[in-house]
Amino acid sequence: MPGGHMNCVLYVDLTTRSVERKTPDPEDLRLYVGGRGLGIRLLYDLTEPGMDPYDERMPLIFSAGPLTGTNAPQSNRFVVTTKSPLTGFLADSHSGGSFATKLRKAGYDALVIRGRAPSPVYIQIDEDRVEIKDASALWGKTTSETQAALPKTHGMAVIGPAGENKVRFACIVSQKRVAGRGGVGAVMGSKNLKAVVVNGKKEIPVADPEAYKAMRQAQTKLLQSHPATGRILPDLGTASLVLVTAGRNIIPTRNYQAGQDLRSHLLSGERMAEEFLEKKDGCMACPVRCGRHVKVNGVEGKGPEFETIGLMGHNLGIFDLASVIELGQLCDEVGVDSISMGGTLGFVTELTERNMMESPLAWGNVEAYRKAVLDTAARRGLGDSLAEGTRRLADRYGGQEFAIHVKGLDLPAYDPRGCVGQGLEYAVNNRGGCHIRGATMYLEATGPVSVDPESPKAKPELVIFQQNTNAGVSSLCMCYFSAYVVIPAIMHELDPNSLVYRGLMGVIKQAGPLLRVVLAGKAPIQVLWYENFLSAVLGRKVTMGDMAELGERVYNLERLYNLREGLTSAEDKLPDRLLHTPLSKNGQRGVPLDQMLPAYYKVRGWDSRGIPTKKTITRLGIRV
Amino acid sequence: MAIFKPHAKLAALLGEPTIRSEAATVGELLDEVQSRVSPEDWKRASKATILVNGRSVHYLKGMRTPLGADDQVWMVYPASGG
Repeated sequence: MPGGHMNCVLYVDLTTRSVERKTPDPEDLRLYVGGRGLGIRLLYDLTEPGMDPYDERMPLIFSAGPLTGTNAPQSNRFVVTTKSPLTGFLADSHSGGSFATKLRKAGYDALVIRGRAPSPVYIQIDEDRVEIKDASALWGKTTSETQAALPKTHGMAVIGPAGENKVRFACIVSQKRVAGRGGVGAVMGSKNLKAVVVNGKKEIPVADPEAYKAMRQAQTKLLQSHPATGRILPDLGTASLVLVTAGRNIIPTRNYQAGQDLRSHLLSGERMAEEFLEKKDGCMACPVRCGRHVKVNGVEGKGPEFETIGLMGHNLGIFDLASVIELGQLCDEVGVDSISMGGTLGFVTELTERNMMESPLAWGNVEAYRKAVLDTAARRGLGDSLAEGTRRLADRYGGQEFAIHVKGLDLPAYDPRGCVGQGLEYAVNNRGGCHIRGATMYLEATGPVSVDPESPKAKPELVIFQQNTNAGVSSLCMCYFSAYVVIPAIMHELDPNSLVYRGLMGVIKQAGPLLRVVLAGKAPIQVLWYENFLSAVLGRKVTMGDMAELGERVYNLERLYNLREGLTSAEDKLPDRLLHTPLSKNGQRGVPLDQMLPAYYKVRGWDSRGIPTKKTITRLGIRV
Repeated sequence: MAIFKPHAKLAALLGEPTIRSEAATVGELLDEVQSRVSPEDWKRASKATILVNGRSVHYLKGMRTPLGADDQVWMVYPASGG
């Protein structure tokens, strides 16, 4: 018996207060599976070219994957897909929590919200019962206040004041997890929608329960025993990255003017574990528990992820961990993406330093930054300008060469001058300057494998491989950290100074042609947990080649959506500072983007303008 | 004077997060550091990537990489997350 999907997408129109249930096209489910893939398929089909993100017809799509709700480890994630008010292109933002499982158990693979309510509302879904309720009393409240006022039995997705005020990088919060990037919270706010809560008890159909159970046990054991997910992430959280990025000189410091600071250790995961950690936290059905629950001055709350430490710490010249913890919590409370918030604040601080703009912001001035976050969420004074984001501020005040964004999305905490493959990835990623669409930096600079971080060799192929893998994994709605287990545990134990290690890295650096063969092939084998899990749940054989093709298909449809919305290859670029200004006297001279981009297009099966060829579209079976 | 930033475990053994040194090369600097910890501890702690101003010494001159004023030598372990 086939399984995996609930075979139902719920449509809610806030203008007409109507509710509709539709069975998704089985072919779309086969080709796009769920999560990110289903999200972009729906966005492409439900919107007209050029539709404004705040047009009331713009859909806000919540989607989960076929493994979500089955208790498969790291599968409890949801994707929010819409058009980004920050970039004008695709926004899909991902979060953990319990919302995804509850959406599926309520009987839905996806929820599509359109229209605009005349006054604040929230949507409550209890399986077949769908209600649009008054949220006037919740309007203006922070995300934790809002969640506290909603039924605790339900999975939640809420916005804070920033979403209400259409801050272009407003996020959606689900318990302590955040769908942060691209301004999905602003689109939700534009619909006068404060929250979605969902609950249900329906069974998720699993086609082969025995095979699934064996897979779940094996995968849980692997995650618990692997150094990346069984030791580093549980012990230190994502903040484990602070010291290695500082050592590699790639943690953005004072708006990417430097790549580390001698005080970096004060913000490390090790220090957080020693002085602030109360307990480990995690998403539903995940054995890794990489989240942090900390106590600062007697007050308990969420500990910051690495990205927050990078952008709200180093990038603002703040090296007091207690302050960074509080600033990170403040971003979550008002509902802004801490990456874009930190990027925008860093940019404005440099504008101020150069006398190009007047503001009270200055490196390390915690009070000024705290007030700026609050003002941004309220769109008050300077905050109204900050709420527009880095790209629009640069259009107004200048400083394009040090406005650190791609397609309008602020860059995360890896300076690509010290990981040039990541630089290529930033330049071409479909949602703009994002690190987690491929996380190439993990194979160059931060993980147990380091393919020459400053060489463009094999990087186009590596980036495509990573992007396709990520698009496939995100369509299953599995956490991308699951992919870190692909690298054998022994690589964590190998001495990086040994000849064996150095030889291996040299071989990988020359592996571009081999990777091209891998990318062009469709391996009919089942090796990793992704294809095995999916086969057990769906009840049909899924191979490694199918997973790679799924990722490639999703990635290409996203590109086609962006092209339809006006993207040109001129936007596949990086800020001048990252291309031309050396970061270190030993190298890190700038990302050689022009050496990588043509090869990237070619291997992708795109023409010289970065447009997927008809042959590529046909091969992947994409309906346009 | 060069600056040495050990990884957290080595910093705990050394009792300080930052060390300044007059060493002329990376090799000399690491010899200084090694002399301050037990051979067993050094064996474990030295299995880490050594970077000078962000660049692995493998792409420079290895242990013979010269050090000048304000050069930074970091010793790091791989991490996880994103």
